Amino acid sequence: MHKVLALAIALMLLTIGAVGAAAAAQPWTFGVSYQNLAFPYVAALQKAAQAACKALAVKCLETDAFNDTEKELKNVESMLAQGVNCLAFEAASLKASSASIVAANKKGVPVVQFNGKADGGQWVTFVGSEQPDSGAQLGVWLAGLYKQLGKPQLKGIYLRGVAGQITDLARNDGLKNRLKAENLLDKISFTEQYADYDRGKGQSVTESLLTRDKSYDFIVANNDDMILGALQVARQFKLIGKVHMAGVDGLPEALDAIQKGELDATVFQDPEGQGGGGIWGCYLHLSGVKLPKDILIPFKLVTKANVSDFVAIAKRVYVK
Amino acid sequence: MRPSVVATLRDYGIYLALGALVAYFAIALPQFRTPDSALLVLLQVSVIGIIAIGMTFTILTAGIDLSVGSLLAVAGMFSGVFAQKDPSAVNVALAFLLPVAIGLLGGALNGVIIAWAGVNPLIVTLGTLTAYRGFVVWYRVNPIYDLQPYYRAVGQGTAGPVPIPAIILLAMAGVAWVVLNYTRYGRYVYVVGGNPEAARAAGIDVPLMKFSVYVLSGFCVGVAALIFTSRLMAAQAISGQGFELQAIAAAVVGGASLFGGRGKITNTIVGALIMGVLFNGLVMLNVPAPIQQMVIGVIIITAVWLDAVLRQRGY
Repeated sequence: MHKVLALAIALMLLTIGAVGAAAAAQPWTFGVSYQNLAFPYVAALQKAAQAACKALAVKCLETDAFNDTEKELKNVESMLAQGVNCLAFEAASLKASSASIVAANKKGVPVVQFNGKADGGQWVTFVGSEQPDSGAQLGVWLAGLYKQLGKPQLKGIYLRGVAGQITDLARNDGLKNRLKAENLLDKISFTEQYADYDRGKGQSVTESLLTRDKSYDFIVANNDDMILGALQVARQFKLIGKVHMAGVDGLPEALDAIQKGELDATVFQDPEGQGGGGIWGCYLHLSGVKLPKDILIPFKLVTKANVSDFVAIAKRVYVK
Repeated sequence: MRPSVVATLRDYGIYLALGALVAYFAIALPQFRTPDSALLVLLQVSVIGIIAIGMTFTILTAGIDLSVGSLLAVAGMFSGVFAQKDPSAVNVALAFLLPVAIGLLGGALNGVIIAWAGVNPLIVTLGTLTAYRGFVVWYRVNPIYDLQPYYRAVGQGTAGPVPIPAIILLAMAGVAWVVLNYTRYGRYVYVVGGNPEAARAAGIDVPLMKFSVYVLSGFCVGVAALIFTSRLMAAQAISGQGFELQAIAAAVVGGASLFGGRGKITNTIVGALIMGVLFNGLVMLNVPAPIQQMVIGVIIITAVWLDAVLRQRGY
């Protein structure tokens, strides 16, 4: 009896040893392509992806497309030539990035898209958020503000991102559709200007608009940078508390401003879930797990009431 | 038209253009007529205007400085690092002086390669545009904020009703104007750009002159970086993208020739003001951004074309 048990244990140890040795001899290498690492949000994605690579003990090759789809394709081709087992891909463009996915398809390398999604070629899964939902969350906040202020009409400034850019359009659609659903489209009016997602431009545009007319009830922006630029103007013009303000992203700075009561809200998008999800998606797929076509990470509206829930995540992923 | 009239138009046409724009917006918009609005334009053009002063010096020598936006991000970032720390005398001094020192250093690096390695300024500063940006993104990709309250003074402060950045802009423009018009150095800048052979024959140290204009451009960028960072009360690695084109546009709309030897500081400032008035007026009128871009593009091309036509006719 003891001998049998000893044999079983020895066999088990051998098996574990063999599996361990096999895993060590054939480690997976993932290629990770980012859209543009100069943006804090993408840098946060990278940090989360790197943490996942480490946790799963896979080797990750990383490249930066610098928002250029040609560079993106060259990067991907180079990673494919190095024999990556899976490509975690953050598309720089809806259409033009398909070329990179097709290149991976030709080599038979599976693709997991995260955060930014291209709509061509074959991919295993997309881990990210539905951008119209972020606009919808802004709409939820505005509807709440409408009730809170109790005025028949609200007028505000809407700082848009880059004209024609996919996320900007999606957020605008999400916001307007939400207000339509709440029957508020004719009760809330917007002065809309593009500020290119840029803080300095957000500041200048807001300065000009507020110099013309200071009676706005709110300012919303399609990202936190623009609303933080507008916040400087609101401070200078002593309009804090009079003009209500909300952005999108959940940058640590925006969360701080919410805690201080200067900013009313932001819409948190989760870089940890998205960046880590790209790597996890590759890992699970190669391990034989069947994944759904979309793994969606919801946007969350952050206000003073729940801001403390998000500070820890933001501090963890937005460092340096 | 008599030649003298045309010549006058060429020299002062840009003032007429600015006057016409101001008149148009003043009629269209009651709020544009206020002193607040005029001061806002000065405030909004201060950063680009100061960079454009340095740019005018490089353009006068038939050069160009494409690295200004990236250098602004580097200088602003290190200013922010010290503006965030406790306001000890050393930290305050570094917050204000370091950006200027970094601007000088970045400009000197451009200048050395252009003047003595003899590489084309377009190539050198295109290279440093990428390299300086890469450096600052590598150093720190997330914004620095929570800057100490004293740091507001430069970018958000006023003397009476006049914003401090506007005062700095006008003071620097004044000094640059004197240097270009009333000093030997200024005359050499024009000669080096307009006729380098003559400059060499006259015994002017052409490489040293070229080096000096890039140092000047870097200095202007450093001051602009301080104002920009203080105005936003945050330092960002992505700051200043595209500023090179705005500064070049101000100089070119002001009649500076990209072939060197021709251009005026006063006209560059007016060129910057035209862009500022357009931006402020069009935003106030709530004109959509794509149309704003088209208007600005058309104005740049018209200004340069008109200038070229007048020059071809020998005026």
